[in-house]
This record gives sequence, C-alpha cells and structure tokens, in this order.
Amino acid sequence: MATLTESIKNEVKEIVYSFFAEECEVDIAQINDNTSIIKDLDGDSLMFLELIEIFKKKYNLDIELKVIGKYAVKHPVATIGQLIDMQLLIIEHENRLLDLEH
Amino acid sequence: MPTIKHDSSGIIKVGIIGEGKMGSGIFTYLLDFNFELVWLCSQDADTEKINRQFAKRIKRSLEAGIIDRDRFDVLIQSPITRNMDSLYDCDLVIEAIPETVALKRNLFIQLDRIIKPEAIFTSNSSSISPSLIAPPGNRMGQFAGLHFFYPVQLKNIVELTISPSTTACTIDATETFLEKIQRHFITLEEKNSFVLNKILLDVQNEAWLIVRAGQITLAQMDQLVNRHLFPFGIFDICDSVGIDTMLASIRNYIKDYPHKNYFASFISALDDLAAMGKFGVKSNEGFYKYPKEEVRSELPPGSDAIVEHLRQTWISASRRFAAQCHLPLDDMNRAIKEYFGTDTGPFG
Repeated sequence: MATLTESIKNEVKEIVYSFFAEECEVDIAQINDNTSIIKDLDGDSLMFLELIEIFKKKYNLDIELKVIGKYAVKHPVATIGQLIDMQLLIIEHENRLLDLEH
Repeated sequence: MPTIKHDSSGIIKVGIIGEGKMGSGIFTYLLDFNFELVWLCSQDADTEKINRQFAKRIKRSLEAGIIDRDRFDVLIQSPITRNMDSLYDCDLVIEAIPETVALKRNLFIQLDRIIKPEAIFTSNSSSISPSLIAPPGNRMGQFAGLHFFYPVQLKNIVELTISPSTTACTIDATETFLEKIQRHFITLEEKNSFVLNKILLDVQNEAWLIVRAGQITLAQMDQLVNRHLFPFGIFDICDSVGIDTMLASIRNYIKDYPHKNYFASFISALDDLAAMGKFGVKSNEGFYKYPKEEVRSELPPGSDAIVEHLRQTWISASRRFAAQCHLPLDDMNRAIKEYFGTDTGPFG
C-alpha cells in the first residue's frame, strides 16, 4: 500500500497522458482530464489494462486483474481524469481496492 | 489419418484469426506467454496501423521492464498480416471472425489446404458448434471450440467444446494449452456447448417476461439486477453485445430445445429492435438510447420477490446444465462465478 505523494500523482498523470497521445496518435496538448477516451480519442476502455501492467512493474504493485475488473465494472471509466483517479486508487490500495466498496 | 502427438510443449506457434474485440483480445493476452504468434486480419483491416500500434505497445513493455530484450526480439517478428499463407506452420489456430456459419466454414476449408496436417483448428464462436464449421476429412479430429469471453484479459474462463470426431490427442493438447496460458476451462460435448451463455439466457428470458407483464420497467430491472445479482444489467448486456448478435446466438442455442416457445416473446422483442436498426450501443440505440442517461428510479413494491425469482432461475438453470454436461458442481460453480463476475456462485 503506497502513500500517494505529489510526485507519484504527477508521474502517473504524465505517463497516462503520454500513453494516450502515443497510442491514439494525437498531440499530447489536445489531451486533458475531461477528454473522453472513446469519443475524443477513439480509444478502447480496455487500454487501461496495459497501463496497469506498466504501473504494476513501476511501483511493484500487488494487484490482480480480477480485482480491477470487478472494481471497473462498478466504476466505469470514461475520461482521462477518471482513469488517472482509478490508477491512483490502484497504486494506493492494490488488492484491497474492493474494500473501498464497503 | 496421420498419427499426431502434441505433448505439453507441442504447441509452439499459434495463429489468431480476426481483428475484432475477441481476436485482438486473444492475441494481446497470448503476448504474455512464450508462444510464437501470427495474427491474421481480414482483407479490410488496416494492418499497417495495427502493426504500428503493436510495435509501440511492445516497445513500451520493453521500456517498462515488463518484457526483456529477448522476448521483444521474438515479438517484434510476430507477423500481423492479411496473408493466410503465414499460418502454414502454426500448431494451433484460433479463429475469431464474425458469427456466420458460411464465413467460418469457408475459412477453415481454405486453412485446411494451407496449414500443416497435424495442426489443431479451433473456433472462438459463441454460438456455432464445431461440427458445423470443421473442414471435412482428417482435420475433423483436430477441431474444437475454444470459447473465450470478453474481455479476454479479465475473464478467466474458457469453454472447450468437442465434437464426436475430436480426438483424445486434440483434447489433451488443447487442455494443456489452456493450462499453459493459465485459463480455467470447462470441457463440453457440443450437444451441451455454450452452457454459460445458455444459463444467462434463462435469466434474461425470465427478466423479460417480468418486464413485459408490466411489473417493472427495463431500467428498473437492470437497476435491480445490478444491485442484487450481477455486476451488469440484463438488457444493458444485450445492447453491449449487439442485438443482432444476441438474436443469432439465441436462435442457435434454442434450436434443439423442446420448449422453444418459452423464448418467443424475448426473441420477438429482439427481432423488433433489429428490424428498426436498433442494434444496441453500436447503433446508439437498442433497449436504451446512447449515450445512456443514468436515471435511478424508485423500485416498485415486490422488487425483493423479483430478485428472488431471478436468483432461483439462475440456480435452477445452473443445476440443470451442470447435470446435463456431467460437470462437477465445483467446476461449474467456478465457471459461473467467473462468467457472471459474482463473488458467490449458484452453488455457494
């Protein structure tokens, strides 16, 4: 369970923005927290899975995809900002993410 | 018939066919395992773009330390192609093209001419039995259904469907493959195929009959199911899968049922939507309009009884199909929990 520092928050935001700019072939300046992944970027709601693998490795996270899947079904992600928030929750709570439901 | 031996390391090269959600999901999932991969896309596919995105993806994985340089070097060579000949030396192919018998059958006939005789052919079909699409001749013995569920990375369950012609060797090699890729599976004879979707269909049908009787609205039903039973709505999922796809699948599922009429009203509702061009999320309208407005309404009196009725339908359908398939209840329970995304299965 990691403590979210400003530095981690900024790093996550930067990685997510760069990821979508590269993957969706758009200028990073066109992306903001309100950008819709599907409508504005023609992206896929499952793109967050690759990001999770990157963050798992980077922050040595103990998180199962199954846990994230269950969380994501109840808290669908539509915008870049929501995706960043979810990634931060994953980093902070890892496999205890579903405890947030209770 | 050639003598074929696939031991646990027999499947080295895997071909994935189709660039839709399932084809790309299976290809992406298999990247994490030590196979050589070939991805055959349709003639309409923008393979240049797919290749570019794939290269970027594995480069990111290398930079993030998810894969090492050796694996990167292997993966970067993975052909993503429209050329069927690239599949000639695959040990296993997994087809994931649109749900049309003629299309699949023609594809397999062509593949049979190109791919080495000992290779195993599988179809990711969610509604068409292997016998209907397997190429005639020796390959019938090396043919099976391999039904992954969407999203492939998150749904840890596969239905392996075998026809009366599928050889023990093929079953063994395919099961070993599924173990290797760390997927739970249930093995089904084709007369009992697609059992998980069939269990859902029973629940969907009951839910529809309750809505049609005016006890509750569609949105209230989805709200109720989502709150008390499954992490999705009964009609939401129809729109998400696609009304036309659902319709075609349901027709295939019930074609041998003695009590087809039980589903007539639900099929008619789907038929009406399809006739109006309302195919679900992909056409911006199905049971609901999209983008969907989330309206939380007061649930009517008697909602508890509706939930209990649907729960009992789920349990009794699960028990009936488990018995029909001769599956241990534990295996069935695990498969159902994974498929429905629930913490508790129908049997606990």
